[in-house]
Amino acid sequence: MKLGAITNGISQDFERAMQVMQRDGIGYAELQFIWEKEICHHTEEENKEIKRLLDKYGIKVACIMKHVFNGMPLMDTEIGDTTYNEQINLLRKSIQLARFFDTNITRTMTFAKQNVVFGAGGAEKYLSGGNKAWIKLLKLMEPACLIAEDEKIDLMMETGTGAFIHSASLAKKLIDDLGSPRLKILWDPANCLYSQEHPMRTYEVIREHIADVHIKDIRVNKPMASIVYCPLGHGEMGQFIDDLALALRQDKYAGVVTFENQVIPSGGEEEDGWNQSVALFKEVFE
Amino acid sequence: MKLGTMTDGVSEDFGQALSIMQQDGLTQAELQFLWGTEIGNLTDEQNERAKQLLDQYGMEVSVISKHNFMALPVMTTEVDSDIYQKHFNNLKNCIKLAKYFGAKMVRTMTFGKEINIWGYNGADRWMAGNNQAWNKFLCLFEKLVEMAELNDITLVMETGTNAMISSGFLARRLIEDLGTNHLKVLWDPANTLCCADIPWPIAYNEIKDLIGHVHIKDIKVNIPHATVHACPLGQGDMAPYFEKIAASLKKDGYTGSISLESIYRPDGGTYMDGYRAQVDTFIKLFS
Repeated sequence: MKLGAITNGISQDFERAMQVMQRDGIGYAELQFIWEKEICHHTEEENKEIKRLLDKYGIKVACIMKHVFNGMPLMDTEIGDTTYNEQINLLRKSIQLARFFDTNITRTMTFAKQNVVFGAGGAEKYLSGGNKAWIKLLKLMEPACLIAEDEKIDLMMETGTGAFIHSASLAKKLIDDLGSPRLKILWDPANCLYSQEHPMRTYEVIREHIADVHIKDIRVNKPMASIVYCPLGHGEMGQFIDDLALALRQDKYAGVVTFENQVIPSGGEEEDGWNQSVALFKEVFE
Repeated sequence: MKLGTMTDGVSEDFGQALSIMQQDGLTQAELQFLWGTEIGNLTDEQNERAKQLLDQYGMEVSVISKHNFMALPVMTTEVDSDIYQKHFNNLKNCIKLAKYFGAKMVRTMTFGKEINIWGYNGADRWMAGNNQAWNKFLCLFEKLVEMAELNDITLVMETGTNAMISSGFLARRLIEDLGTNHLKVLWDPANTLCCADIPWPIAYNEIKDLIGHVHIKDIKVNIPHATVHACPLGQGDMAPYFEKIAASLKKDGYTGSISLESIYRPDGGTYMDGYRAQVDTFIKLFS
């Protein structure tokens, strides 16, 4: 399988991240934050320098990871709003950068989470706001999908803990309901643990729609609203990674599997967290 | 324990709701929507009529249950903002109404949910907004508590499905962090299932000394699918907990009221049908 990393999970110093990835045999970079600046907000000179460093270290770009539509309140957002238009413009910028960095995938987030979307038996009136949110999500996501189709680029939505699409099940439903061949899933099964979703049961449902997989490990306590990051194999994802790797191999998954290091050990930095887990990541997914 | 219901779960016709409550032996009316209007938004004449009907049917008011501060975003709301002040004035009005109706409690909701409040080992930065939400929430909430203390009324915060306070643990922590006797928990254990709380014994033991009011309903929850199905008491995910909660409340000498929150509506039926399908079970469990 193709192995990747979010570069800021190693270092905000992009050249240092490239050096570590080359050293560890990780060939694909997800571009999210570089030199403490989010992708899409660099100058042309900075983008050229990023490309030069990628070429220097022989690393390819897996995808452009701008947080489009991240955390926006669904029911208070309308097509044509200033904030909505800003996000659409950032999506267009992401697509331009994808071309520049020679990838065909860009990320979108999916607005802010609503815990109960579908109510029934009376719960639709009292707990889910009349079941209006899903239709609104479809309306707001459709223009982004149309842009992706026009540009012939894959738009992958991340399954986020605080996102409207917070499980792979909901991601599959969104793809089914929008019917866009360009909408794919950036599956982060660790994030989905926060929604109590079993990774391997869900994999069967979404495997044809996966564009990228994020691998990390966490310990979740939902009633306490807390998440602890931990080295790979030390949290609740540890029990699933071997089965997940096997399933991806059996299905001849051709995309990238990305180690999303976000562990910062006490007194350390991201690179220390990376070093704690990269060997196991490679052992399981290479 | 004193048993009651939210009247709009029986009927939006307030007189009819009270008549049925009287027939069923329920004495505590929780006021949320009357005649299709939310409490706090009724005219003076409607409030007077509501009081006449309460007296006529011999009902007490347990809680003034307006949706104060519901779903306001914590990180982008400020105390001096128009929306905060609007809700603050609504809360003041609810306190006046509580005194008018002889109720000792006023409900508040607890803003919109921040999904991850506390992250550690890097999750603080990437998944919990640098752990800033709780302190901001305390700043927003302490003004509410000050007003409750000033007016010598008990503010009850509901454990909501999409609220900042969505579990027993979080409710206890808020009360402890604010250090007040005028804030209690309006415990809705069914709502907390949406945040994977375990109502009994874990959540109950967190808050047993802090409960101001209880909502009882039953639902079936599927968290990854974001679905909730309302159902009669004993037929959903709350079924394993009802008898244990009732026994613990009795054993621990709970003297407050418990409301049947009848949100269940059978296919092709009405909310009244839903109420009738479960009121007997409610009374049997908690009387």
